[in-house]
Amino acid sequence: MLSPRLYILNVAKDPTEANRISKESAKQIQDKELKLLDLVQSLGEYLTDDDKTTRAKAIGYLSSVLGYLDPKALSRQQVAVIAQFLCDRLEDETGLRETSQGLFALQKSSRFGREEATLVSSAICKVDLQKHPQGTRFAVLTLIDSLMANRRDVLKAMGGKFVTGFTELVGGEKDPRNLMIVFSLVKVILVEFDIVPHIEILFDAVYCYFPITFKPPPDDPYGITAQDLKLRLRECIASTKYFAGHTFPQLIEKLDSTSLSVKKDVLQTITACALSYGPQTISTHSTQLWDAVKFEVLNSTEEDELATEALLAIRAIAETLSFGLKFSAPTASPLARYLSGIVKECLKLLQEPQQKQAKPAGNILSKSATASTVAHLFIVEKTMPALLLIHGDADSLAKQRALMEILNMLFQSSLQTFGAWGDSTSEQVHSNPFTEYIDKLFEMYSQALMGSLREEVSLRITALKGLVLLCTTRRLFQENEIGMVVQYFDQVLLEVEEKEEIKELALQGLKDISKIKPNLIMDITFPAFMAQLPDSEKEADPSKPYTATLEALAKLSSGRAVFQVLLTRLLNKLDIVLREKSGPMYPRAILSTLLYVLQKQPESNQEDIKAYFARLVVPLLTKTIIPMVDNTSEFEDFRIMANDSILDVTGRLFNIIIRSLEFEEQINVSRQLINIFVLGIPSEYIPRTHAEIVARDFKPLQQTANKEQSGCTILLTYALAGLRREVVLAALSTPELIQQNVELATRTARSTQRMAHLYLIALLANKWMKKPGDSELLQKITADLLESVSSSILASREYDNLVGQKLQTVLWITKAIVVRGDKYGTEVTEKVVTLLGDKNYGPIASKGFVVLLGDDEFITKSNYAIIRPLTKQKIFTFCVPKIVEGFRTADSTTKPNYLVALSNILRNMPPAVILPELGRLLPLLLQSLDLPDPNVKSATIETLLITVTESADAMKEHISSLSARLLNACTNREENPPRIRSAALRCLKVFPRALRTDLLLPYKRQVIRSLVTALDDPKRNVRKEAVDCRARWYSLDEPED
Amino acid sequence: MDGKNANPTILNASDLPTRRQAQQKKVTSPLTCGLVPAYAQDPFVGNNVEFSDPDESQDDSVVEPIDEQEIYDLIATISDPEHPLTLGELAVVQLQHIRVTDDPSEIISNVLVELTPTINHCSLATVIGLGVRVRLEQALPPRFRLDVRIREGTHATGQQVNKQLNDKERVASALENETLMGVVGKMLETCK
Amino acid sequence: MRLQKVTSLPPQAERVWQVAIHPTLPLVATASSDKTARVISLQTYNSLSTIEGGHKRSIRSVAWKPGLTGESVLCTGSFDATIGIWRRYEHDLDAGNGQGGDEEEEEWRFALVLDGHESEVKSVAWSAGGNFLATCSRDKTVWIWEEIDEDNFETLEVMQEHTQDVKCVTWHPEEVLLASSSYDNTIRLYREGSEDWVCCSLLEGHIATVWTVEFEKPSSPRYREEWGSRLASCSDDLSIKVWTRISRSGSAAEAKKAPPSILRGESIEENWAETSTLPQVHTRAVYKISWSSKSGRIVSCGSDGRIVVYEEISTVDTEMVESDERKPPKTEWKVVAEVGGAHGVFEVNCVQWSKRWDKDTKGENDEVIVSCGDDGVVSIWELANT
Repeated sequence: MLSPRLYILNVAKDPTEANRISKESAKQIQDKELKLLDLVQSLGEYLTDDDKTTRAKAIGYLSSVLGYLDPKALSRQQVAVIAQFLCDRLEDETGLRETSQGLFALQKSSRFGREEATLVSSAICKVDLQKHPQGTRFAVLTLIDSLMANRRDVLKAMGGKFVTGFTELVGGEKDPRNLMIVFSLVKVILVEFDIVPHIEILFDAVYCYFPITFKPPPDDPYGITAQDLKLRLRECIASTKYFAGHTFPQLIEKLDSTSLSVKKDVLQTITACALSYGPQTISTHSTQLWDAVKFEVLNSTEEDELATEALLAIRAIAETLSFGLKFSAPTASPLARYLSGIVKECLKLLQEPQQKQAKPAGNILSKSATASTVAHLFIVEKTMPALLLIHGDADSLAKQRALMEILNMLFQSSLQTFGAWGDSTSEQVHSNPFTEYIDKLFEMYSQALMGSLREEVSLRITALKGLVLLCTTRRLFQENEIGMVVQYFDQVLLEVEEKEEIKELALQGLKDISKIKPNLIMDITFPAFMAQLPDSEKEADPSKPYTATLEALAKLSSGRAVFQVLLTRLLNKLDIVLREKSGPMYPRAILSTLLYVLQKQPESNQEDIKAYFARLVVPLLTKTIIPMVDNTSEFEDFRIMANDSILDVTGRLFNIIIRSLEFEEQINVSRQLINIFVLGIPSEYIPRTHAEIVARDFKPLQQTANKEQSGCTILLTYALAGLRREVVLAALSTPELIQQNVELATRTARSTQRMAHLYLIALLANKWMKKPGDSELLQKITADLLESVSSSILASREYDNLVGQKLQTVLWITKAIVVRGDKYGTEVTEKVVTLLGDKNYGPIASKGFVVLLGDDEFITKSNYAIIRPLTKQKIFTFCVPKIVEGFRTADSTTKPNYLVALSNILRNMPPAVILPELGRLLPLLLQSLDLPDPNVKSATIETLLITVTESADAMKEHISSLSARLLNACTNREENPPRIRSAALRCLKVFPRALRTDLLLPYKRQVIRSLVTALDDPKRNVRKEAVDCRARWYSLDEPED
Repeated sequence: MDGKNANPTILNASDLPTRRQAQQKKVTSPLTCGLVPAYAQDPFVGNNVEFSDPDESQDDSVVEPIDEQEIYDLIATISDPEHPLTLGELAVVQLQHIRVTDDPSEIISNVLVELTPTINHCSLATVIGLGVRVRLEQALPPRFRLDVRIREGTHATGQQVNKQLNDKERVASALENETLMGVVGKMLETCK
Repeated sequence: MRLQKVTSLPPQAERVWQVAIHPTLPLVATASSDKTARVISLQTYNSLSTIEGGHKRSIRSVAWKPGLTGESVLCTGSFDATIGIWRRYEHDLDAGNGQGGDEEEEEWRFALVLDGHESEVKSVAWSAGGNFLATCSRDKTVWIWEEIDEDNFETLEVMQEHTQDVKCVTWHPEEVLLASSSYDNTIRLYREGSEDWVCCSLLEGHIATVWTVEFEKPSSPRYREEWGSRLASCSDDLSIKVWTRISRSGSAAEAKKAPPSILRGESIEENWAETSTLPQVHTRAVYKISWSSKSGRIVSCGSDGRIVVYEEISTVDTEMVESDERKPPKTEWKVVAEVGGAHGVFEVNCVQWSKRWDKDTKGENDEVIVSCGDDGVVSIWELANT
């Protein structure tokens, strides 16, 4: 028979071949072509070979064959023989790995019986495992693991023999992968086997690994983390209460460790044990544990990891001790004894609630009070009287407040235990122990919030938080009490004098309550707030400005139902206010309120928003327009709607609502609006009474239009902005409309007016260049405009404002087409860059880059504008080299234009884009710092700020020149306004963290010295920045020479 | 007496007098903020005054003098060497125990800070005092002369501590002592 | 009279602690917190050379060794607890070649370091003849060293009489008599006894740290042979006092030239009394005083940034005469000149009278005041009539 030899020859150099061979043999055996016993026989010579490895390989062959055999392939008696054979081989150290693999394969066989199992198990236990390499040990452990899985009964039957044998076998195991198996095996033993006689050895076998300090090697093939091991080990330790006597003393001792992670591990293990050892066991250790663990909490500070763990442990004990206690904890019960100890100690510390350990004590109480309902009842019952007493005796508000903080913690635990109103969780059988203190608490907290001086912010905040908790806790407060609280919060919100801090909390409180009792908000808060609103600016009480009220209303009205009410009420209010001949401010504020709520609506509520078209857009439109065409007194009062600041808000309302309309609806809207604003055709939006007059006399886009009418253009602009670009603007030639607006934009003297037209032009140029030839016409328009600029330059005439306006218009058109990646846009951009060199129009060109790259509210994705990705970057890469070059050759009068342009570009560019170019730009940036223009300066400094933080390397060679300029910027008050000085200081401040210390040290003394001037700056903010900046530079430590 | 106090009384941070939050929270109505009308956003005109709120903090003619509150804000956030708490929270530094005399007509101005140790045998009083001194020396213009002392009757050896804290030579050489500066550095890390 | 600034040298460090005038040459040395000492010409007011690298911390004090020609020896005392001795050959500076590069080339040679003090050295002083060096420190001790041969110093005595930091040591211009002042508010005087150096007098009266003490020079016009030595002191208590020697064991005449050996066995004690308190002008600690050997005026400076010059009023009070003749006359002083903000907003750490050497010098007795402050500036002042 060749196969053994072949296998032995190949296994080392060509495992696949070897496998093929054994697979082959396996097949032969199953096909009865080969007898297993013969095969075993044939191994004889090799098994006696002097060369260890040969012997091992021989067994390896057998094992591998067995591995390929079908579980049913072997007969009962074959299995027996092989089992015996392999067990005998176990003595041969060298073959241990292969033998165990063989046995592993064998015990899979369906005919592998009790006897074999017993035989193998006891044989295995005799092996001296630890002197073998981890791979071998792994093989053995896997074998035992599968025996444990498939033949647990047998192992159990072996009893102590196995338990002791096994613990000996694995004693001293160090390999993480093997330990993972060992731990899981041990756990089974601890849980299922009769271990009482062997506690000692088992505990030692397990606990010797605690705490796990293993760090996985970087190239660990099995990816076992220390955490995996910790958890497995912890499960073992926690798995049998018989360990308690050993575990707890040991763990408590380890608590003295100085290592954070060890302490954490210890505490988590204590918690695990506390939860699993069961009430009896825990009851005997509870006091001892409490005494050990409490210090981790009491000596802790805010956000202390260990403290949190310790609290969990304390809670876990209470939880276990609560086991089986249905209604209360009898005084004799372990829980009562445990908790009374805690309560006693904590109350002692709470006598001085302002002291450092009071808060931790409160934490302990509230945490334990969440262990179980019984625990909760017990603690509240035992502590409340004392706590109320302390509060009563408190000689200072600060002390009262501190005590109330503690109470709040308990409320929190109550909320956790009894749930909030309308929680899905099942109701408690018990009644909340706080119920009997309600009146006292309500009075105490009401008094603190409403009865104490407004300046007592923190006291009142504490009270406010407490009240929210009490209101939300299920079945604690009565409806009327919650109602009272709502009224308190209303008052706080409506009071101007109140600090923002507390207002925000009151508002949040109302929001929370509105979740559980919306009706209270509608019935109490709303009327209260509406009543606050005056009917006209004149009778407005300056002490409670309507803005504050509107603000609060807006913030509360995010809910759908609520907003419906708000809308109706505010529209009515608007009419009243207008009738009272109001100025622009109040109406604007009212409309802004609606706008605010609409803007805050989540995407999901788009449906609702649509519904407001009829209720808002149309009425507002008519309110605005009709007075312009109808001079009868009836509409007199509405004229104010044509005020620019009101028109702007109205426009925004149009925009946000129209945006969310369906395509078809939008088509109609566009038609109607164009009829009204452009074509002068009667529209269904205008009531019959006025449709005709409006059509006849409302001509906002005519040169002849009066201020009011032309002012309305912005409404059209905002409306069109909201339309999808697919919506065809019926009966219109876009280029003509553009041309018309160009005329208006360039002629009008009112900048308000101009902007409306310019935005309109931009929108049309971006979204509605559809018809063939449109683009050409647009180019023509643009070219003409540019032409008049260049001709004025050629004729070297004086600066002409009209020409300036034309250039501005060009820039808006360019912006509109550049963002949709129009090549012509780039051509124009190039022209603009060259214009930087002109002394008359260069400044406009330089500001133009804000238009090109800045964000505006019209050309946006949400307005369905065509915006190609990366256009900003394109312009950047296109312009910057030209600007750099232009700057080089420019004369001193126009150099600034290039710097301004650059700063305007950078200001609107994501850092990622700028950074690669920095090397090239820094020289210019440094020079811009010498320009007087504060805007350029601040833009530059902002860029530098990014530069220093993001790419310190680029800075390296400029440190001296830059720091010098920044120092000048923050100390030279004549040239630099406060915000520049602050900015410069902020920039200088990041140096020490961003750049290598050795690069900075040469400047340290100089910087610190110069900053002295800034320390005496007339402006507090600047001084503050100077102090921080200086502190950073001081912290640069010199090398000790 | 080990000169340490494991369980000192703590003031609530929000009760401490400070100008800082006030500065952070600029009250702008959410209704109107971010509502700069389209027509006021002309890049060619620059910021429209009417809507960029007039800011006194930008007007240099309005001088904001260095006052007690400012001194307090500078040192109240220093942390205590033995507790992870600030001198403000521990009431070691109190606004009413700071006096600034800053007469523009005089060349030299004065700052007097009186410290109240948490216990009257606090072993770290000197270090705390030094911390306060260092902070102020780094943060105030040189025309200010600093007197940092322990408040009358709040410390067993107040006199010695005061004499040390205000001895120019001792302070100067303390500033050259790495270990001491290490401690002080830690204390100042929390400064805001 | 009026103090007016002749010139200021550009700031050289955060803080200059002290200036020391060369006994014979037109040189002033500075001690600075940047761990260096600088030498400046009093003819041209140019900075001539810098001594650095010897100390790990601030140099607090410098002193020129007297009685040398052709070479200068400078002693530096530092917060690093060590004392440095530095040597440098001097060309003839009287020839007026103060400026020019050649001094720049002149290198200071680090001769040796004296250690022994446990903490910051606060002051160093050479005895009149230059054979003794006294040093003091925060370690409460005063050390006396003797240079037995070149660059070989021997510790003669370590005296711990003070209970706190010793701030200043100074020698009597003629006698072998040493004075020290301290954080413990007292002044002590020392003389060489039969076996060892002993404290021969304790002067109490100041109620705060005594920053400096200085003896009156015999050449001073107001020096009174019959009363002998006087000592001035200034303190954190804002006061400046003058003390006079009432009695001493062993007659003054004897002690002057007699070598210590003669006194052996004789107990040495001196009895000093406070005889004047100068008018108080300073509003903060007075750090330094200097007693002019030419005019007998005292100049003071301090934390309040002022420099003040005082003059003794020459009225011999009558009642003094008939009263007990061993009681020295109390004398009055008046302020003759004062300047505030002498170093801007900064503290003034030191003032020294010096012979005037610059081109505007009027006669042998013309003097200037050299001052230094926390601004790192060294300023020169003249006392102008009108």
